[in-house]
Amino acid sequence: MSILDIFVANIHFIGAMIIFVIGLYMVIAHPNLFKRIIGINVMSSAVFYFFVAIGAIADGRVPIVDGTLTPADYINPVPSALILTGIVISVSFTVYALSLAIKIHQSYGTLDQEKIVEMSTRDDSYD
Amino acid sequence: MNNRLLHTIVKMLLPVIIVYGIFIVLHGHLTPGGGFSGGAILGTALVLYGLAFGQDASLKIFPESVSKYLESGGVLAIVVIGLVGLFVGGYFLSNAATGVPLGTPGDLLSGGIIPLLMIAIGLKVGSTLMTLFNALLEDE
Amino acid sequence: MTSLAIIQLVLFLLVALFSPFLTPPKRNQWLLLLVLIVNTGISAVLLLHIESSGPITLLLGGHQRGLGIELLIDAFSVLFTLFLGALGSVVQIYALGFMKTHIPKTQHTAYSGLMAILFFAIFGLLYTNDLFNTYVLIEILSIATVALISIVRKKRNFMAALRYLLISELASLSVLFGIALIYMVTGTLNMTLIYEAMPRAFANYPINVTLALGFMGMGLAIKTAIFPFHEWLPDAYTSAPSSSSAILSALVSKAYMVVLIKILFRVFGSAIIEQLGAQWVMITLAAVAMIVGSLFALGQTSFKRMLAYSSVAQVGYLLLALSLLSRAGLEAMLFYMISHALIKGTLFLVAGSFSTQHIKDSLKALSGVAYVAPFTALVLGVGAFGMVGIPGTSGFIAKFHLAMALGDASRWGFVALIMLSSILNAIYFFPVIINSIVKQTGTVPLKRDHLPISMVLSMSVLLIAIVTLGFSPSLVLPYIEAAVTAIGF
Repeated sequence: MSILDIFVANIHFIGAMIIFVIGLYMVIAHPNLFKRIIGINVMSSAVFYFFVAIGAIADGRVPIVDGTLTPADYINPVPSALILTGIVISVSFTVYALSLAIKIHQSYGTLDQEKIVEMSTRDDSYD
Repeated sequence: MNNRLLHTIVKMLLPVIIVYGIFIVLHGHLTPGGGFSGGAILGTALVLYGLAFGQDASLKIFPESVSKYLESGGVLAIVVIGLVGLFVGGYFLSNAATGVPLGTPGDLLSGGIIPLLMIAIGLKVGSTLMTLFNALLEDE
Repeated sequence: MTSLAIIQLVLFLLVALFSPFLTPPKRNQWLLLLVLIVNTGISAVLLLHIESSGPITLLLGGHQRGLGIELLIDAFSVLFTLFLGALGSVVQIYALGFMKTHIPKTQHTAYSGLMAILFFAIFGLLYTNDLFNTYVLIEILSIATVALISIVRKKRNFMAALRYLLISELASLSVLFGIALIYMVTGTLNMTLIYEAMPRAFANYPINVTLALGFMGMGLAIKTAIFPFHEWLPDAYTSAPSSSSAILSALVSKAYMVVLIKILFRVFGSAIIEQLGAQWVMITLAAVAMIVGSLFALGQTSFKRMLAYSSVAQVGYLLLALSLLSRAGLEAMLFYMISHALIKGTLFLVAGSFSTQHIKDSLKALSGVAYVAPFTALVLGVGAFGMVGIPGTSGFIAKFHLAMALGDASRWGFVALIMLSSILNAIYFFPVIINSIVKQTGTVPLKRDHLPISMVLSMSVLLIAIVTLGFSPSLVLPYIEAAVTAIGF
């Protein structure tokens, strides 16, 4: 198999990896907290894409058993079902992170992490 | 918030969205989708109403106390169904042993406890989305 | 009888469900305490049951193995639910008194609900034998943890919470990626089935398995704050209210450690880890963490921050024991985990007691504190002795076992490293103790501690536990041996 064939055969996995790295870059490189939350979302989409692609087959059918097709014709429904759970978690993460970001913006007036770290004077009084 | 076009279109869309959400929830054991997807659609309908008519109006038709009960109630229903399975069938969430008829595959009334679980999840997810929406809007 | 583990999980869930409806919120705290004690009792019963009649496998929904979620209740998981449940009960007793002054009234309901969800996730993580379920519970645990940090509505808490949330979501996604890679080559999510299929999968798809180990290892390294990934830990531990810090350091990080052990030995197996040379990565990180964590702790001026950095160093000890990949190493690690959870939990509770008595959380403010709060200072002294590893505390036994295990593997260099790190521990803990005894200001008569009875009670229990384990470790050692056997050594 030539390199191109391998590339085409694994296009979903390679694509997921690329999206993952884009998300990771956003999380690491951006000082803006909102963009980092979005970056995490991009990363989770990449992982979900990867997971769902495991169960996909070319020209696969929706896995509804009606007696006319053999199991080899169906897409594996397990990854899709699992990723539904993953999406739920991702939604709750996003909402929670955004609500924290709103609170931070209300108290600091900015979402730039470097500025916030600069602003928060390190005092020793902790509860 | 006094946009006639927006209000009219939302009023036209809402019944369709809600019926579609209920459809997805009820067909959870037959087709792709189910409690979470359907619940999310129902929640979206409420969020859309809130966006178009303002938070006060949406809180009037769907107050926070209601969503509090629905949220806890949805999970409670799943736990209770699971425990019934545990005590009757020996396994948490066991299906056929609970006595709910399984029906013929493909019918709306089939699948034993699965439709019940889907309805519980749908209520939970729909109300949770509304709670999250309200939580994001609240300002302290 | 066998389904008692399900009842434990359901009880925690019910506390969380009913918490918004119980008024006054005080009842929630008592309900949670009651459930914690009941669940600890159930774990004890399960432990005795397993001792006589072997591990229990629970299939949810009655689906066959591999199709549904499976819970594995064996000597290993039950030992830790028993220990963490008991420790959680003690911290909850402390919280009964601590909450009044440190957590805003409006948040009391949320506190008990979140704690119930946190314990639900911890117990679930210990019991589950399913990889995807592990991921879901990790997420539940991290969101509950973050909520516990942001429960005090201050600027600093929001920032610490969001940073922890972002980094822990990164870690969870990394774990999920690893799970996806494993599912790709084994076609199952059940840990036992994966373990059986792993040698063949590794022979056919070595890249997938290596990447999976890397992603899952990195995710859990962030969660357990192994050295280069520890950035979130000091802020999270210090800005959380002290009872939450105790829960974070004593329970949550130990739960993630247990997950790491399960993933390494129940999913991959020590043969593959050895073949990939992952133990050398662990040894390197452990050695660096032990020294650098202690050095960071030396430079702190805040007591809680010092404790937090000392946790970074302690994770290094655990990782060092883990990297031996041997029976002796794992036994030493489990004992160390129990000992460290007790001691570090106690020290965070001490920090909370100081702040309840309006003593500032700085090392300077602690001078002469033994005359203002003698009991708290006593607990502080014993806890600090435990961290350093003075004989008579569980910390000594833990370090001794670790050194013995390293000696068995003839890694004498690392025994010397433990000595060095212990000396560093002594350098930053002893001044605190000495300062607290040496009175520096005027002649103040000896005062009594002004602490609620529940806080004194829970700290006494922990004090007794540390000293008891220091004199008779044989109380827990047989159970640890059984647990290590259950892991598969």
